[in-house]
Order: sequence, then C-alpha cells, then structure tokens
Amino acid sequence: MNKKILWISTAWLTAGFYACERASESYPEARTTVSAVYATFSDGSGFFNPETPTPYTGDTLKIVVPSHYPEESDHVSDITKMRLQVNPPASISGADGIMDLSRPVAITLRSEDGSEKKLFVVAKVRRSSEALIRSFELPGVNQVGYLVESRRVIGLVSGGISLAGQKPRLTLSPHATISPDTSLAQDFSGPVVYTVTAEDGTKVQYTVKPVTPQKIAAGLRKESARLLWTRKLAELGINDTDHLTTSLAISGKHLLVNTRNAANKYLDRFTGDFSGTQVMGEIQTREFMNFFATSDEAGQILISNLITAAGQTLYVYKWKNAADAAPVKFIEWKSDITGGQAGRKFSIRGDLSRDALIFMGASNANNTILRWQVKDGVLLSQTPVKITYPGTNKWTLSADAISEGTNVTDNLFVSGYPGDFVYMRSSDGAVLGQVNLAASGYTANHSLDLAGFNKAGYLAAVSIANLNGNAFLYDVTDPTALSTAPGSAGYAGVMVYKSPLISSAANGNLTGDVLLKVSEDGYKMVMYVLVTNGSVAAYEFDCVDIGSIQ
Amino acid sequence: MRIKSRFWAFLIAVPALFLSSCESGLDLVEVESKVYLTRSGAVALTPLLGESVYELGVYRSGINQKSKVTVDVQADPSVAGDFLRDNAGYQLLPEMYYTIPGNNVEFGAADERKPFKIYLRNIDEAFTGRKFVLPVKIRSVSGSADILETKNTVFLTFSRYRNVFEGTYKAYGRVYQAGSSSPEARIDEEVKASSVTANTVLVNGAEGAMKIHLTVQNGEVVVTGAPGSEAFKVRNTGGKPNTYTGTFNPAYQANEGTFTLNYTYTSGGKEKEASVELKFWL
Repeated sequence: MNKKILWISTAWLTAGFYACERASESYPEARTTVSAVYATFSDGSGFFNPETPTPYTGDTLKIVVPSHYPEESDHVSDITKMRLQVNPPASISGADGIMDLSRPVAITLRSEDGSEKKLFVVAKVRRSSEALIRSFELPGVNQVGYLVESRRVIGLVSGGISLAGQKPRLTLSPHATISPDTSLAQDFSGPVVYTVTAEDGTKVQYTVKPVTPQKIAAGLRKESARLLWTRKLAELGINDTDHLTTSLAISGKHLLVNTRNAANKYLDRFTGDFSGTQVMGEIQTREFMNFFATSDEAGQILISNLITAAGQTLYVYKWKNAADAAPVKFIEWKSDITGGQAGRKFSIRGDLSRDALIFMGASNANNTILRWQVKDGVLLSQTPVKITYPGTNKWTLSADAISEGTNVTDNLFVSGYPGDFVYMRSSDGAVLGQVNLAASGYTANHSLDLAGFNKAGYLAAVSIANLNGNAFLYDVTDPTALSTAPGSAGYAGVMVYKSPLISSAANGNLTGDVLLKVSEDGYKMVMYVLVTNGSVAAYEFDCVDIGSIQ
Repeated sequence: MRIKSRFWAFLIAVPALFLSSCESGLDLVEVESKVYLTRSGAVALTPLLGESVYELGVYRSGINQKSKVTVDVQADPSVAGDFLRDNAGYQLLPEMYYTIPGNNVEFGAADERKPFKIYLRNIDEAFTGRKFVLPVKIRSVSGSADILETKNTVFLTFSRYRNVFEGTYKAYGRVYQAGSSSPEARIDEEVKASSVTANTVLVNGAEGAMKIHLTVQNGEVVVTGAPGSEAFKVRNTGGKPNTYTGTFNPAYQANEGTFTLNYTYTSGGKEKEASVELKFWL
C-alpha cells in the first residue's frame, strides 16, 4: 500500500513539473550548406569560386584563375590539372580526380535537396591588370618615398640631402614591369616619371618628385616610425667587448661614436656608413681622455675627460664639427665635489655659439648637477653652478640632465642611475613629473635628449641592461605627463615610441646613449641609440601630412 | 473499504486539480510581444571559403500571443556611421560578398524564433587582411509586437576566411629525441587550428614557442615551421606517415577529420621527433 502511494505521488509530481515548465529550446545560430561548386589546384591548394554564385541559372560555370599562384609567386597556374568540389551533402558527378578545365567539362550537380542540374565548367586564366608601385625607396640616401596612390605621385622629403644620382628600390604589383630601368641612377631633385606595365599590358605612370607637403597638426606621425639603419660596433671596426664605446654626438650629416682611449669614428648619420676619424687633439693627454662626447644644436661637439676625485681637473674640449682638426679647450675646472666623479655624462641645451646651458651629472651621493652657461657664445664661468636634485634616491653613478630652454630658470629633465627620472622645477627642485621606472621596464636609466619637433616636445631616454638596451621616446609637450602610468589610457599618447631591444655583449657598466636630431626642414626627427658593446641604431619619425602631397 | 476508496480518490484528484489550475493560469496570462535580434552589438564572423549561409536569429518574446507578426530586417549601411567612426580601419562589406534572399521574417502564431538568412558569397583566399562590417537592423514590425530597441541592430564583422580544416583538435602524441624509442615528453592538449590558406592551417607545435603549418595535399600533410618558428627547422619525418583523413560535416560546416603527424625539428641543439594525432574536437 505504502509503495503504491509512493509511486502514484512520484508520478504526479513528475507530471506536474513537466506540465508547468514553459516550453524552452536552444536555438544555435545554424548554418546550412550551399551547393556551391569550387575549384582547387590538383594538390588542393588555391580556392576559386565561379564567377556567378548560386543559384546557378545558366548552364556554364566560368572559374577565373590568376596566371600565377600564389599571385606574387613565379609559379604558373596550370588549369589543365584542377579539381572540382562541392561540400557535402551536395555532390557532383563527372568531376572525379584531376580535370582539364581549360576546356568545358560536363558535370551534374546534385544539391542537398536532391535536385540535379547539368552544368559545364570551364576555367580561364586571368593575367593581372595591376600596375602599381607599392613602395619606393632611395637606399643610397636612406629615403622612403611617400606614395599617394590616388594621384600616382611619390613624394620625397629630402631633409636637405642631395637626391641626385640615386638608384631607386621599388616594389611593384606582381608580374608588373617598369621603365625606365630602375638600375639606372636618376636625379630625383626634379620630377622623374616611371611607367608601370601590368601583366595584361595595362600601363600606369607615376611621378617621383621632391615635395614640401603640409605637416600634421602637431607632433610626429606615429605610423612613420621606422628603423633607418643599425650598425653593430664590430661592423664599424670598434671593439664590442671592452666597454669603452659610451656616447654619441651629432654634427651636420655626421654621427660621432665616442670610444674612450681611441680616435673617434664618425658615420654618415643618414646611412650609418663610416665617414671618417676624428682628430682628437689635446684631450688625449688628459687622464681618462675622451670619456664622454655630446653635441649642441648647431653640431658643435664637446668631449670631456673623467675625474674621479675632488682636486682633479675636468677638461672639456670643443670641435666645430666632426672633421675639425683643431679642437680647443672649452672648460678647465678643478673639481671640488668631495667623494664624487664628474665627466661620465653630460648634455648641451642650445647653441654654443649663441646661448647654451651645459649640464653634467656628477657621480656622487648628493644628486649634484653641474651647470655651465654660455651667453652670446661666451662661457660665463669655468666654474659650474651646482644644482641639487632633492630626491631621496641617489644616483651615485650615471646621471644626465637637460633643460627645456637656454635660460637658467628653465625647468629640467633629470635621469640618474640608480635613482629617479623626473621633470624638475629649477627654482626649488620640486618634482613636477616622474617616470615610473619599474612599471615602464627600465633597467639602468641615465642618458636623455630633448628636441622640439612640429610644435611638440620630445624627450628620449635610454634603458640599459647587461646584455641589451633600448630607448623610450616621450611626448613632453606637457612635461608633467611623464607621470602618466604605464598601462593607463593616456600612456600611448605620452610614451610614443619604444625601440626594440638592441642586444650587446656583456655591458656590466650599463652604459649607452641617446640623441635626437630634427631635420633642417622640420619634417623628420631621428633618434640615435647606442648600447655599449652592441650597436648603434637610428629610428626615424616624420610629421608629413601624406594626404597633402600633390 | 470505503475509506480506502475515498483515500485513493483524494490522492488522484487533488494533484489533477493542481495541474489543471496550473494550465489554466498560463492560459490567462498575456505578456506583450517584443521582437529582437538574438545577437546584438559587434559580432565577429569567420565565413567559410566559397558560399555559406549565416542565420541570424530573430526572436519574438511574449506569452500567449496568437497573432502573426512580420518583421522587416535589412542589411542597413545607413546605421554604420558611428561604428565606422569608432572602429578604425573598418569598411562596409561589399555587396559582392553577400546577398539577402528576403527581408521579411514571418512569425506564425506559435513561432518564437525565426532565422534571417544572409548568404555569404565569393569568399576566397583574398578575403583576408581587411576589416569589413555588415550592419543588420530590424527596420519595422507589423502585427501585434514592438521592437526591442536595445537589441534591434547587430554589426557583423569580418576580417578573414576560414577553410574546412579550421577548428579545435584534440592532440595526443609523444616527443622523442631522434633515434630514441623512449619518449621525453607527452602531448595531450587541445589545439586550435586557424586558416592560413585554403589547404593550410596554423597550429601550436610540440614545443611551447613552436608554431607549425600543416598543408593538406591530397591526403598527405606537409609540416613546416610557421613564420617566427623557422629556427626549429620543422620538416616531415622521413619514412613515417603524415596524413589527413576527414570529410565535410554539414552540421559543423567544417571537416571532421584527423591529422596523423610525424615531424622532426631542432630544439636546444638537439634533433627531436614528434608523433602526434590531431582529432577534430568540439
């Protein structure tokens, strides 16, 4: 009896649940098969649809196959060995195995609904009608052409470089040809017309010419960033294990690579090619000769020795340019910095022939920055003014500083290792902006450079580790934005470029350097990065409004 | 005995009464209909090479709505303005890539969900490297129903095609040092295969950083290192099979098949051999 009650109760309850449940159903986004024929090459590569999609109304399906497959390859398509297929449950008969589709082939297409249709299928080879220049360079002067396809114009922004006698390097659309022969040098200081002929005979003319386009509203064009060149120190004939190559300077078209205890080499800064060897002069007679080199905005070079204790004399010599054979002593100062070194690193803001400030980070435990002032081309005093960065982290080793302008009241960017990287108010040392070094990925932070470019301010900084290093480029139009947290929404607008890691041999001193140089015409800015025992690399940015190129 | 019969009658009658009241209650409830798309916002689609049909769900909510409803759904480029402004690099899907056989979606009295079909066409190997969007919107509804405004538009986005080999696979296998019969590692994982060309997929290889290409050529498979994995010097192991068997499954709109792979590569200065089976996996 009890069992019967239990069974009946259970049955009713179950029925009750089902009856009260609302009808529910899952509805996947179903797809249904289309009985569409396609062709492949005999090995299964390629995928070619008929010219007309389903439903097939005529009795012939025409399949167009490019003359080469892949189109950019030299592999000629063979339409006499193809396969016709359709996805199940549809099927085709009369199309088994490899087929010659150069002639119409009769097939019967059975659709998934069971209906049948007789069709002829034929393939046609299509020769490419593309007659395009896809990229244009002048490798001899490391110039990239700005391609404005809509106007068939390739603009060259020379930045003051001669464009005569250059052989271009181009990328054309597949199987197109070009005339005149690109192995012939041309004078690109005026218009040069090239005719591109497509595989099917279509002809298109492009004009390559120097242009002076408009600039974008402000700052650099982010997508313009490119590696201009890179050279391993060993390629330059510079020892890449002795830790002695520590700094860079720019003079005109040259990039000077400073190697301690040796005559410096200078390169063509647009190509990285070796140009010459510097005459070192009197600095060779000083203790820790040519320890660090830098340059002013006009391309004048200063090179310091290193002093390791108070009472020693710091010497700084000046070269008018990289080829100057008669350098002159510019600073001679007996150090009074107790327990500290000087001469490891310094920067110049301004033009030494006019107004400039020279900043040298002393390697002490007091975060001391030495500052010399040049006014109207005259060094006002051999004895520097001492500025103290009041941060509690002491750099003790390497530090660099540079001011926003050439007035002694202008605020400073300061980066010291081990220590801080800040934007500092000059009047009282207050920190107005600070890079979060750990979150940004820095190892050793020290060298800085600052440049104005297209109405914006840019600050370059290095991070050097034992086996590699790289550079960061910040938009410091608003210098306080240095505090923008990595990973935050605004960070990409502040840290606008981070160079790839440049590898090196063991670089235990964690030395390296960075410089910025804006072209005379203001269209381009190049960031030069040195990693000791590794390489020198140049990264170019522009501010060209490509759409304005006529 | 009489008491016993009454007890049984009670036991049967009371639940029946309860159930009938449940049904009657539902009959009396009416909730107004809303029509909407089952997908809204941006929805990424990866169309199959060739032709395929995407069925976008149109749903009619409500309870005890007996009337017929016709919903007008359209591919509507005019609503793409904000999307194109906010999503750099997108362009409208050209008409050569789709057709819509009918804009009216009819709901019968008992229908809750109906498909809006979009035929995707002319998808070939050139359908990659670009970003397309096809906005689809419920334009109007006739009959006793309203449009749920928050779910009346979907932006179908497309950036690449897929081949019939693309999908998820279960990988089982072993890795040996060349010449050794003792495995040094086991492979037992789920791997995703993504399309590279019509007959090539990209999958993870036997090492953590290794990516390989599997190219199917008439049932044989050529294994090569993908870009970035060249240093592994991946190639087919000589004398051992590298095959693919499988057929198109209309339900999955993909091949249901198995890769049998034997490939050799270099890692840590040592030559290694992987024997792996990739089975189609849902």
